[in-house]
Amino acid sequence: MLDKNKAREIIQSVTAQTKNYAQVRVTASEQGTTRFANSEISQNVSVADVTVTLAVFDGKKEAIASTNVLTPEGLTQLAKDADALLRHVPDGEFEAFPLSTEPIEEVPYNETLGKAFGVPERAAYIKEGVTQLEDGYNASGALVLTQTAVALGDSKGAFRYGAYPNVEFNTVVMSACGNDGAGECCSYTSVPDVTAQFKKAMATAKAARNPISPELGAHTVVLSPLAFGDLLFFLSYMHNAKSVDDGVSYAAGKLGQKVFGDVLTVRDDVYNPELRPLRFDMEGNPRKALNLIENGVVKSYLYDNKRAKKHGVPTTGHSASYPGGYPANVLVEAGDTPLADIIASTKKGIFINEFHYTNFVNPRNLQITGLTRNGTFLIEDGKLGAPISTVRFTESLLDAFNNITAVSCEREKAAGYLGIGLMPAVRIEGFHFTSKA
Amino acid sequence: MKEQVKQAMALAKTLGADFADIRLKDIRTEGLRVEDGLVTGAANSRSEGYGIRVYVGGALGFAAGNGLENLEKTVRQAYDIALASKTLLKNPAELDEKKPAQGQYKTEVAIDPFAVPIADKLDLFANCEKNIRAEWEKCTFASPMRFRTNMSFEFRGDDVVFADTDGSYIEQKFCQGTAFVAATVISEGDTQTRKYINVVRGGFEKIKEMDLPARAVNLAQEAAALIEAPDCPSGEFDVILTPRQMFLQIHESVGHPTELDRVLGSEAAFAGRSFVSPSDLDEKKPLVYGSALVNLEANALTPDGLGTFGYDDEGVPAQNITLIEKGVFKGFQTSRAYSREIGQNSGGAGLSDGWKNLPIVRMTNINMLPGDKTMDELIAGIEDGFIFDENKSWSIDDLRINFQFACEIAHEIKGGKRTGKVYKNPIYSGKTTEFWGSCDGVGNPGLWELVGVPNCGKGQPMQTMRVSHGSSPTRFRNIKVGVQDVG
Repeated sequence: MLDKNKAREIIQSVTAQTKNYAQVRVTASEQGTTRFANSEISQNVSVADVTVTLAVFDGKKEAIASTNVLTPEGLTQLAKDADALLRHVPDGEFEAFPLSTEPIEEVPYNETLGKAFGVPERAAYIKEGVTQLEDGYNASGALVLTQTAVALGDSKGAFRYGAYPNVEFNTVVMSACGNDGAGECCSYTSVPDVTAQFKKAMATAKAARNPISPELGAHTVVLSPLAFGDLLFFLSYMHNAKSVDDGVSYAAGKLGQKVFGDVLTVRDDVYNPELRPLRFDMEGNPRKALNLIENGVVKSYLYDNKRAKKHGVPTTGHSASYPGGYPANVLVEAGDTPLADIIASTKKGIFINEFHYTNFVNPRNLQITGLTRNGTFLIEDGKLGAPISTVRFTESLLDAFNNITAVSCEREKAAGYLGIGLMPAVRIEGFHFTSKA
Repeated sequence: MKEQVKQAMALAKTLGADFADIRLKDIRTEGLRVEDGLVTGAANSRSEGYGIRVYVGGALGFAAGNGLENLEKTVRQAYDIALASKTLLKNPAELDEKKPAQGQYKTEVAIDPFAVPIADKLDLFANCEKNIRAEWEKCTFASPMRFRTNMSFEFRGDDVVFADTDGSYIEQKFCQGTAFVAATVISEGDTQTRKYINVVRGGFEKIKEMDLPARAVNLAQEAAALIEAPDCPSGEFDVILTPRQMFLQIHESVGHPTELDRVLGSEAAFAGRSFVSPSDLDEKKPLVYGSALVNLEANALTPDGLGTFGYDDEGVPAQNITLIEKGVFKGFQTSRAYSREIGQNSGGAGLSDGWKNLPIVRMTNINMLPGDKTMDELIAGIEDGFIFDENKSWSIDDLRINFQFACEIAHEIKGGKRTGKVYKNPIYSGKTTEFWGSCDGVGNPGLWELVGVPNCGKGQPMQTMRVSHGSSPTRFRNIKVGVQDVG
């Protein structure tokens, strides 16, 4: 793993080779993925890479070059490429924003996950899980260890460094009859219980035999934390101030307005000990913890330097590798009801364990479509009943998140595009199924 | 370098590998982004490295790294990973037979896009911007509107070397360009965009052929019309899909379900499975995939295609595989690692998206063969329906049966003629074989268009692949339009 000293050395080497004001980002990743299919290891891969990205500035001109060729010649070429590009680009909208030097706590690297999920350990975990399957069932999935280091610096001597591991696991257990169940877990800190997820997937698959076809139309649904998280992440990304400016986001013009039900509070909180421990954003700014939605009211947009300047507000420290601001530490405030009690208090409904291929139909009104998979069941008189075959939903989250009638007190970690989130289960009334598979 | 690569392969054999191969890729990109006439991004990148695949007793290991000085270490790492894979191995992998290959391949490039001055590229965008704004100047709206333009280029060059322990050594050079132009009109409660994006193999001459400034005029006009247009009605209608929607219909409902690795379960926990099975190759019990007008192929020889090459990433020569002939399923997309499962040799679809990743079964160019209809003839056959153009949303189930797509614009057809009326937010859905079975008209070769897809995701770690799809405008009967059950 790229250590702090090596990262600083690379940054100093690069900035020394350009006369322009320069900012450098070094990202290092070591990733090991052990995939299994039909209950045997099918792919087992390891990849390591370090990329150096140099941004050079001249007034309102900005040019970016990146390379993973870290030889002295490679880094020299990087600076030449960036400077050459800079000479040819016209002015943009903004001058450079100096890298922040505000003190930030550096979170020590957690060695636990790296030791627990090396190549042989991953294979052993999977073997143990597969061994406990019942006859007639097989498992597929992946166990992934990723170790990441990020360093930022500029030609004025500013410097940031952070490193963290994370583990993600998912499995689907299936029978030849087509019934299946799934389990997932992920973590930045403690060792997740992979074996428990195999057991959960096995139990769900057994219960999913002989599914019945649901009626289309509006239903009361209870979404597992994974299923709810799948929808919630779409909402959270729409708080990017650039999406607001581009007219893409539902949140445009709604700051301070009550848009969702009282029970919904969504937060981006880098200080939550279970979430990604990188305390600065890709522009070196401290990541602020803030509420995106507070009791149904739209409270904040997410900014990088450029969007903040355009809006005349301080940045929230949410720059990613894309324009605008993105959440990486999303959590939804828990409710006070155990999931078991939410199900027990549901007269008639459908429990959904997982969604598949969710996608925006129209981001402006948060209309989303997708399908159920890996464990969908009727709820009848407060008990899980017959399994349900795959069904498609098409729903506006503006409606769905106004119709949340229960939030569980338990939360689970769910993997999003940019980081792990912390999600409860919820009950939603009037959720629309629109076609059968 | 060639000698070092040979030594690396020899080392794999010495360690005890039954087979090993290596892909070295040096990838350069240049990107330009312009928003509302201002440059908001100018970037270039280089990423080079190699991925080494090792089989030991039918167990697979793969490691990727960079720097030739690390080759030996990476070979040993891949070998050790293969040994770890033996921990849980039931059916040792068998690669199909392949002759050692020596060869070279190069994308034909008339104008090197990396040598074209930035100013010339920006001039193209300036002309687009001028044309779009001029169209909007002519428009009047019932309420205040905001206007946005977005444009970008990305050029990519791949230098690829493949070698294996059987003695293969192949050198290939690829070049591709992406052009994107979008016109957006924003009202208080709605946003409507019309875009043109295409990705093609070739040089800057391919970008010029797109005639972006002329396309921009139409984009501006249609975005302006859509913002005040009604929502597309729901119901059952006959529809014509243009090639700019057909590409994704083909991609999701023919391309992915006929990938053999998916069929055999290797993507079950991530990208999903398929309703197609190896038994569907049985000619006595054929799988009827569509009407007799439906003919599709996986053609790695298609000019300009992103899935066009000399050899795939397993050293297998490019091929043209028939997937569906006269509506009947005929073949899978295969790689060396899976083709033996159906008693065939690889169809040359073992591809990785870069040096970091393992080759898996990927689409090459999945094309629908043209028919004989003119556009007027396709339209004349519709009493009450629409032309749906340009994809904007997609979703399909785990087995690739139930799909739902949204397009940017619907052009109304009444009594066999276009009325000139447009609708926004058209959505249609269906089931794969029923949908293809409803195909009753296919546009002629003159209407055939190749559309590049630069972002096909599959695999863990996620690989983002570049594929192309050719098709003509195609007519389908009695399609479910809209989502009637949503209140």
